[in-house]
Amino acid sequence: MHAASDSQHRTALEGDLTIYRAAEIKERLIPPISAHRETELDLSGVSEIDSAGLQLLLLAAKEARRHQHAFRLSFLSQPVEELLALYNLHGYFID
Amino acid sequence: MSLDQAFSTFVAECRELLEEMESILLSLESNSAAPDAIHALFRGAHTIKGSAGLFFGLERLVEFTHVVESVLDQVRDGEVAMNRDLASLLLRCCDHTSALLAMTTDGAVVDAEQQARLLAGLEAYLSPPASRPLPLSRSEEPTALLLEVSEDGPVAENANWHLSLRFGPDVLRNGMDPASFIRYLATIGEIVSVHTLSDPMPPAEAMDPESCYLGFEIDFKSEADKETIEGVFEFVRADCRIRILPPHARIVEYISLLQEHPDGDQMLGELLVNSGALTRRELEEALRIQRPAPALHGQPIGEILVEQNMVPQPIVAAALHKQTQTRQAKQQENSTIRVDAAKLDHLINLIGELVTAGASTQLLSNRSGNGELLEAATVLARLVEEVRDSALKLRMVPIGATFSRFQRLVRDISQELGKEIELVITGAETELDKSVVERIGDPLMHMVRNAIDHGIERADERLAGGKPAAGRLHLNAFHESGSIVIEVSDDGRGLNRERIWQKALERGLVQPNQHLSDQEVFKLIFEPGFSTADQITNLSGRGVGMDVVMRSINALRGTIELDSQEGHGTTVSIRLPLTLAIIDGFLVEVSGSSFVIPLDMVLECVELSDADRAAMDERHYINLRGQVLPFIRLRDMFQVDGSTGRRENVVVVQYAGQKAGLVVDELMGELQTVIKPLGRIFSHLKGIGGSTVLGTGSVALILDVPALIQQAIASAGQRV
Repeated sequence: MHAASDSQHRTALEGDLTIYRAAEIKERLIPPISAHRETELDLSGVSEIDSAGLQLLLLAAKEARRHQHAFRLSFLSQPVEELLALYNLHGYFID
Repeated sequence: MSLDQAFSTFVAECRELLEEMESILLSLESNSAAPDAIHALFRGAHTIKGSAGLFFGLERLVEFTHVVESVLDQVRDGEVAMNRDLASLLLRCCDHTSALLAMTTDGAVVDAEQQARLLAGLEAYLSPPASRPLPLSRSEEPTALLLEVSEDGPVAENANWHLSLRFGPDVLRNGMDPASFIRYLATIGEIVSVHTLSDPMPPAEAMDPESCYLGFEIDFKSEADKETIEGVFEFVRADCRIRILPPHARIVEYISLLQEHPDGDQMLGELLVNSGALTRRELEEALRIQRPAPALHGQPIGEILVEQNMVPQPIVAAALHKQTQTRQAKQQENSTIRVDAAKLDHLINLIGELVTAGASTQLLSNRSGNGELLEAATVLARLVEEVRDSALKLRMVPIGATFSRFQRLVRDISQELGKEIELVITGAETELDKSVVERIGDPLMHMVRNAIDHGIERADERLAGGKPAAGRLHLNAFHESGSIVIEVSDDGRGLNRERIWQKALERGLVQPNQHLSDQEVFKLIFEPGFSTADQITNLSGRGVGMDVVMRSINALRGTIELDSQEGHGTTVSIRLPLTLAIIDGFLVEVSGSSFVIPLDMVLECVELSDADRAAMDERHYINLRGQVLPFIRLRDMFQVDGSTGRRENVVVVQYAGQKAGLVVDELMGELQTVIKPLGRIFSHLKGIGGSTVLGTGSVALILDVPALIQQAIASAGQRV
């Protein structure tokens, strides 16, 4: 799951990105961001996403900015595409 | 909880809310309202509407309450001022809401004309000010997109709705998702633009993954009206900040929106320009116009400060913590539990059994002579007594709630009759048994009606008689020697002894040569069919009231006294026993038969002197330290067999200021015991009010002291 080099970190989330797993996902997602200069998140395996999940993505982006690191999403599953479109956040996460 | 249970809870809560709203409206009418009265009114209507919406078949109630809520919303926002007319209208709306509720519970019929009248009255308060352009309706063409200037200031070009949403932190925890609201919004119009904001989101360490930090600025094209759009957010309305600006909203509204959110990750102003809600020129205009920020929706300043993110995070947390504390404190103040009356009755029954069991335990332990056992039994008895008192107190409620209902009644009747009446209530905190409270309401209402209708004169008559134009009605309650006394007094014309006497003669209730005291004459008005009213008004004077009142009071084992002075007023005193279940009693014996006398009516016990004993057959009174005391010999009264002992004793009892002596053989001491009502076979027995089972297992009869006193006085009178 993790790329070789320290400065670039590729990771993925799968399954439900919802409030039910939000606390657990936060622990997994956020700490590496301060540790790596670039983090790329693959969401192609996400089957369901709600606003709690979306908030974690926003948090990740904020954390990255705080440390002057980069955070972006690489691949999006259909549900993620839909929610980002609804919230007009597509351009925010994908350069 | 089954749907039925949920529905009956809803009905009970709805009734309580309506009562609360009525009392607030009455206080608004008389300019004595609390500062948060309007908010309480709004919350009441909002809660009724929301809860009613959950049940099938209450659509009319929901629709009607919705209009009431909208008007109250306007009042809350300061758009509409509360005045006497509006308060009056809202009172009638509360009545109508009760009627709509009754429609579902009792199958009553609702007056459709009344509903139409009320709605028309309410609509008058909802019509928008003439200067504000109306939102697009289906039949209209879009109006010209120019910067219009109206009386309230310049108006934005924006032909779309602008929605500013800030979801509360608990939205996600409560199982809702902002996304679903936006998706739903899209079904009633076209979402032109969305800006998602997360200004309140703290750094990762403090961020709670289950809290909601989202806000949205949405531009929305729709032909729906504001109500429909508001309705989309119904479920989150209470916790979230929602501002809906119609197309061509006034610039000042955008100003207040900006003032709500001055800072964030993105300047709101820039955002509005970017989304097309405002043009650059309009934004500059808005920022230039000075306008102090009003308290929006009556929000306390603390909340606004917190939302503006102008305060550092730790202080935000402290402020939120304080808010939670205050809210919790408020909840504690109002904490009560709704208890099923049947369960409470069952508990009291059990405690009654416990009292009896405790009594026999005590008796047996006494006989055993075992010191430790005796001590333990005494401790047990004391605890049982405490438990008994606490349990009985559970059933006690203050009479204040019943009295308060009369505020409305007095107001309505005095308006109807054109008399000015002032209602004074004292002793509202006096407590009595719940079942008594429920049954005392109707008799009291009848007496209040009588007092207002017949007792209090019209203003001109009063002024001519040197009285103040406004009549005074006084409701009072207090405890007195084991009873509760409720007084209904007026300062009206008083009872006319002559008129009552004449009427009683006419009806054959009295004979011409009878001598009756004033009290006895007054009491004739309680006879069935009696009425001296010249005009039978809508309310009273049909002659069916007062005897029903008398019967209700008797059923509660109470008594009524009348005191009146012609020209000055009348006072009706109702005396009721405090508890119907367990009594403290004094046990006496007559030739082996046991009787219990309610302890609170016992004054003293004396030995029957030889002199009195000897003279008993001739004169029917006892010499009690120079006082004349009528008496009854229980042996004779109840025809108990057996010969009298060497000494007899007199228990002096009193009730309602009258005394008598009960002559018995032996005095056995105090006891507490459960009253077991006698079967209907025995209901005609004079002088007996119930029975009880003693610790020994034998049955004792409980004496009806008031009846015995009357009897003693009567026979003393005859003999003399």
